[in-house]
Amino acid sequence: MKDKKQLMIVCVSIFAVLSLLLTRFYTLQVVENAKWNQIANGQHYFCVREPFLRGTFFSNTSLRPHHPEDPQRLVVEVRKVHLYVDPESIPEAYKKEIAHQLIACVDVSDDEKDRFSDQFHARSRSRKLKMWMDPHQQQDVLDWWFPYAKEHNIAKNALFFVPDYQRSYPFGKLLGQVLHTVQKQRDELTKQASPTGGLELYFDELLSGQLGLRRLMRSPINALETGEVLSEPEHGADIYLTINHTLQVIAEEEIEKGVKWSKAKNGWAVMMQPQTGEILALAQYPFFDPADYSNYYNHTHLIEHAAIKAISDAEEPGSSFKPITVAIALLANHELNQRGEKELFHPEEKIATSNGKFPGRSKPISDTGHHKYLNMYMGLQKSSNIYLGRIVERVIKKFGDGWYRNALCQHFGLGEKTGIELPAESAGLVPRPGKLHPNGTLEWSVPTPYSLAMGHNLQLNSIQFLRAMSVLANGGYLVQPTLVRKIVKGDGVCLLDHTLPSRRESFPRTLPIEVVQEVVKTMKYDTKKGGTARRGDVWGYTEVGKTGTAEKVIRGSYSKNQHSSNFIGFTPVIDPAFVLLVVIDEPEHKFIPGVGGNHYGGMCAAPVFREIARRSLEYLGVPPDDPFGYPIGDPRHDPEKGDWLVEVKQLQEKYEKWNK
Amino acid sequence: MKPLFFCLLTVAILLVVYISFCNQLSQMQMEIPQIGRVVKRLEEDNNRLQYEIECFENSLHLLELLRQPEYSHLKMPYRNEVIDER
Repeated sequence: MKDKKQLMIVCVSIFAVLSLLLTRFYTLQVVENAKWNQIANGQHYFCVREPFLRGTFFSNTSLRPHHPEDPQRLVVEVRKVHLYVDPESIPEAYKKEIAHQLIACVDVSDDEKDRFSDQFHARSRSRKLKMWMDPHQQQDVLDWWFPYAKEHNIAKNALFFVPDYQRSYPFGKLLGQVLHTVQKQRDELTKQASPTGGLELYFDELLSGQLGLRRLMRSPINALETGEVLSEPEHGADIYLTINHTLQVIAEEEIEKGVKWSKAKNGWAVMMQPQTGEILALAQYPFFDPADYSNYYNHTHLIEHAAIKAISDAEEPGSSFKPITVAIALLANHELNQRGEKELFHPEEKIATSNGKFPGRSKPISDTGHHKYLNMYMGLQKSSNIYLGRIVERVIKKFGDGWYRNALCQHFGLGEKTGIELPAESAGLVPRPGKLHPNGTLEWSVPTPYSLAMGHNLQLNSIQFLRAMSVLANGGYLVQPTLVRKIVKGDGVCLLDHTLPSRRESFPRTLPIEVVQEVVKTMKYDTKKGGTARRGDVWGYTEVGKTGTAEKVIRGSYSKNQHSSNFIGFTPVIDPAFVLLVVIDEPEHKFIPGVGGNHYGGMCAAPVFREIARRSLEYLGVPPDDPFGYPIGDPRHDPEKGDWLVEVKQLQEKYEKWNK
Repeated sequence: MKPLFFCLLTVAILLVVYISFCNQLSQMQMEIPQIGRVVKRLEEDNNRLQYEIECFENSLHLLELLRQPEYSHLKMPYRNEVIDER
């Protein structure tokens, strides 16, 4: 009996223990399965972020036919490392020596030495010591550190490196204002960079990528695999620009020379393909160095050089706008022709230009020289304000202010942004009849058309002006300016393609071909003897161009000493390779005896146009189409065979006959 | 007894071969991440060298070379001088 009882007790005890074990087993393996799996995975595996590459910019290497070139990167992501220290892993006794050794190893500047040493005494597990080190610098540090750490029994990972990619510029300052850069400090979580302006800012969303995720197994000595990719990194999209790096270098070299020669405040040159609207070069001096961006933003006298003045500054173009005025007057003639009515004027018509009085003006308009009679060709050649005013007077009398304004806006795209792919584009200003200025005066009053005729009382940015001139260069089509040829994602998918023929076919014709041909014929006189743009004559090539010297509006009134001087033109005349605008901002105001004003567009901007055009045509392989069009004294010069020289001589004779 | 002995011997040999094969696989598996790191480093070195070459061969430098007397004989060809074999 007693044995049976004891046996029962033992059985029940064993059963109880086994039941407990089973219950515990069930709790651990079934009920808390997820929790223990997570802990186990955390101990066995760890995740690392896979870095992404920010998209890059490529130059346009397709300009020269039969000259295949590899795509040229304008920006490169170069792998660098940042050096960190774990101060709490380093014994106090060694901190000074390690800091001293590292200062010598990584080349720390004198004013940074104290800050560098202070990091070793911070209460932290991670302090940044030095950023953007090259791999060979990293190796130098490791070559010293590993033996040192072993000798003094310090954890090797007390000093560690974090890899990163630095935006680097193989061309240095080239295209600095247009490209811009990204700030050195990235967002800690997303590793995204903050752009400073330009294309980096405009296309930030497309250029940015996404970090990937990879799961690796923890292994004390040997890792058995490269890990499981949980998500691939998404690299940013690459952008193929319309800018050609060689044309950009040419433009930057010449604009720098031009600004320095005329002792100007700054200057810029923009080159555009008139058939497609592709911007081939956009140079601005003083330059902006993207690698040294912080210097510009930390000094008030330098920060203005970070902006793209060709986009953000809308100014009065002055006399270089007169070809547009001539085009509008001829357009008025064309409309009357179509209606079967008499034209407002004939290009050969002799118009009196002694009297500069116009309706609504308190002061008469004057010309730089005194002309009694001019026709259209002479009027543009001599840049006569009175002649242009007279023909606009007829236009306004027949068609009215509204028609004139519409002609400027609809046929030449003025008064609205071009949509160029850069931030902070100015829309410019074309006065509107009936609208008031903030001070209560009318934007468009009675004398406004006569100011518009000579390129005043309106504001254009350089891209708007180039676009308007392109209408004359390409036979009458209003193109869409662009800086982008293609945008291609990291996986090869094309997001945008501006090289398709359908884009060019979509440009509307806004001027009849007859009007365009007549204006171009008129402009040809200006770069020859008797014209204001002689210094813009591109020897060996046909070209058209117009100078402009506009007084700048300073504190509400025109300044006599501050000018914006420019030259706009295209070459060759038949099938132009490019339209080019050169702006010299505030050239030194002085008169050069026997030559003229240093600040005139014909003096300071025209030679820059000539040099950029000549070198660019050479680079593009455009053969000379005016083989006798060289200056007097050059053996190639021929006054009978040189392009337009006979016509210029005939015009000069007629001018002298009318104005003796 | 003899057949049993030979059976056991065969099994033992096969086992050794199998374990040796598994060891080779593990050895290769250990080498994969190292090779991966080497490849990545080479790619990045290549990128960095390419960048340095582009710095040297940039248009500004090439145009400066063109201005030097020893290269003055070089000219950009005109479009109509280029023979297109297509």
